[in-house]
Amino acid sequence: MDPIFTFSDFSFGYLKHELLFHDLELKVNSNSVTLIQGDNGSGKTTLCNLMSGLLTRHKGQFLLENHNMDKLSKKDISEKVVLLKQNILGNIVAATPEEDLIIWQEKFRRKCSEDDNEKRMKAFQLYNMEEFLLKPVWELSHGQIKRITLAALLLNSKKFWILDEPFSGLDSKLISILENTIKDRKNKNFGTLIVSHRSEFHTDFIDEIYRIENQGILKV
Amino acid sequence: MLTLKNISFRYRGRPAWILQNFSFQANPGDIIAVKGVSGSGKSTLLHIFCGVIPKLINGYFQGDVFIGNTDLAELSLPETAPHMSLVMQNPDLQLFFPIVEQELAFAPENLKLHPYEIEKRVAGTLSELKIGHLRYKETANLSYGQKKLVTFASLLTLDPEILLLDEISAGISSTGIEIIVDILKKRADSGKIIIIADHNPLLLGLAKKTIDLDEINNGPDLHIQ
Amino acid sequence: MNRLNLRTILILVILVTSLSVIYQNLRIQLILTGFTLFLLFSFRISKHKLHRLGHRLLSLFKLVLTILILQILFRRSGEIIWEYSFLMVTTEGLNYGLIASLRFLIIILVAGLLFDIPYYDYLLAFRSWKFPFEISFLVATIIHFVPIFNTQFKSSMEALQIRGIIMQNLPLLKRPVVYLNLLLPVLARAISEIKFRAISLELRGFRLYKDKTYLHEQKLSRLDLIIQFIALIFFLLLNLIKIIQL
Repeated sequence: MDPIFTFSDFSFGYLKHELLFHDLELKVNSNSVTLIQGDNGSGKTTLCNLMSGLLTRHKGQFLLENHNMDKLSKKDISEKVVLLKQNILGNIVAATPEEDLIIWQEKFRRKCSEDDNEKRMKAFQLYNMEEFLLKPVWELSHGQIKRITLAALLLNSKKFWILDEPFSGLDSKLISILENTIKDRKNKNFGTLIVSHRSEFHTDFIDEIYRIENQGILKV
Repeated sequence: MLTLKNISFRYRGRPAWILQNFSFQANPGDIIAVKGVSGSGKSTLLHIFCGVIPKLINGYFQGDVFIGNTDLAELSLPETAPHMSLVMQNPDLQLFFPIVEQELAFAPENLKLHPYEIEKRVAGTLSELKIGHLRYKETANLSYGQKKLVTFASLLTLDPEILLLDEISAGISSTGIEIIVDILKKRADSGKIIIIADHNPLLLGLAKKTIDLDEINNGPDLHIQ
Repeated sequence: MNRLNLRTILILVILVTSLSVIYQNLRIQLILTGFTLFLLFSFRISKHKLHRLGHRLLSLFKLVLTILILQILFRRSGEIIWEYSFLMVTTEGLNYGLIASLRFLIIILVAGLLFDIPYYDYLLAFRSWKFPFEISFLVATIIHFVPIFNTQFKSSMEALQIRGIIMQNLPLLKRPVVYLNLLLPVLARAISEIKFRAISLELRGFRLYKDKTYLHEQKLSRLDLIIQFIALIFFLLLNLIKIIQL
């Protein structure tokens, strides 16, 4: 099993005298499903932001595959991993769901191919979004916006997924769709890291559970 | 007592009715769950309960809401607050002060309570939610879950008769949920009405009545279990 | 430390900015800059905010420098200090350049100070000056629109980074297109957020009664009154001098 992330002797804090992580040791496998839990304010979101390159300054060793995180460009990181932010509106940049997913595909560099369009439509269908594809984001409900972000993940199936509270605000039907997607990915050797408070998982698809505690992380 | 009489509503520019001729009644001590798939109008219903619809959000609205014998249409939102208030989903829209303590003190200050009573409510709520360590923290630096707890705490210091909670559990740790469940049980026992739109089974498990928006929207008639 | 009342701060801010606009005098601009900095440091408590102030200054330094250089190069009167073909640096150019950039700096610092003051502090200050509520709410909203917009814009830039769209890597001509694409949704969202912020304030009983109580009393302290008084005298005096000079 190859680790996608390796933390060793790792420390991080927003303020110098207030460390959030101290001497953290953690290996996250690239092809399995890892669940991270912890109390409110323990640093789960911070960990996600560090792994997706949104936060930098850290101390100690922090590798993505075998590369030092510091040495990788933002673009390199974005080609390996994708993050679903907990603050769901923070995942959306465009005015409508349709435009938002087109930006994921075109990246302002190219035009969508037929193949892209088909892929996008499939993603929308899975989350049952046809009726509000062209509606402005600021008129949608929380749950509908969440579905945009989940559909966007499907366009990044070959990357490692980092999901910060993906299940919150979802009804049971949507939860099982997302769970099945994660299981599917695992069978194809693509891993996922989930930060969640949900304790009543069908734990059959989760390989490792960690808990953030006292500035470190423990295997459960 | 909270009464909805023949409420119909749809947003301007959208054909689908969220509610049609909907009536409902809640009595002191009731905990009520609002269920429905995403987009079915759970938040909308909470906005109707507290009068944000039709006062501040436009659309086609018909019907009456009563708190006891008072017609909600006759109260302004600030006048509604001591009777009924709402915690919305997005915590970032509900934090206004640099320090957590100020956030909690704001509502009882508006009620013109004596500083001694304000302090009692602030300290009491912080310890009830077990977030005493956050009292002097900057709100901007809190994590998402902590922000949610603080917005819930500021509703508790207002202490209205009817509490409307929109996705209060999102981002809260399991210990946090247990604490919230205990608090809601206590409040209901003391005669408050609590209305929850949520997906967390522990919270939904508290409810004795359910408003199922999927059923309402699919069937020709209204169903209240 | 004992925080100054917002009313005092607003008076000082008005004093500083109006003096800065009126006076074409390097020494006075320097004093005003120093005073604004003092005001900022005395108002900001936490280290986190100091950090942000540092960042803000650093990112605006280029702009201030550009203003300085432009002023220096385009003023042609006064003694010539340095000359190279059509380029010329004169004493007056240097003087005006420094004044203009300091003036700009003061405005930026003051704006930064005002953005960081919470919403409802404004409403209270305006009310004690007997402004109608609707107007004070509008002013507070406009002042707060900038930071809300700013946060949302940053969050959109992060979302782009996650998508592998890195602004610095895009061709120069493409960048305005990207910014334009971001702008509309960010603006629309910020506007719709303001509505919900107002709802949230009111549902917590804001404006229920004509007055309210305070957990910690916030009366004008004697220090506030003294500073307000001195500021007023100072303001009148300096204006008087200016008028006499004319």
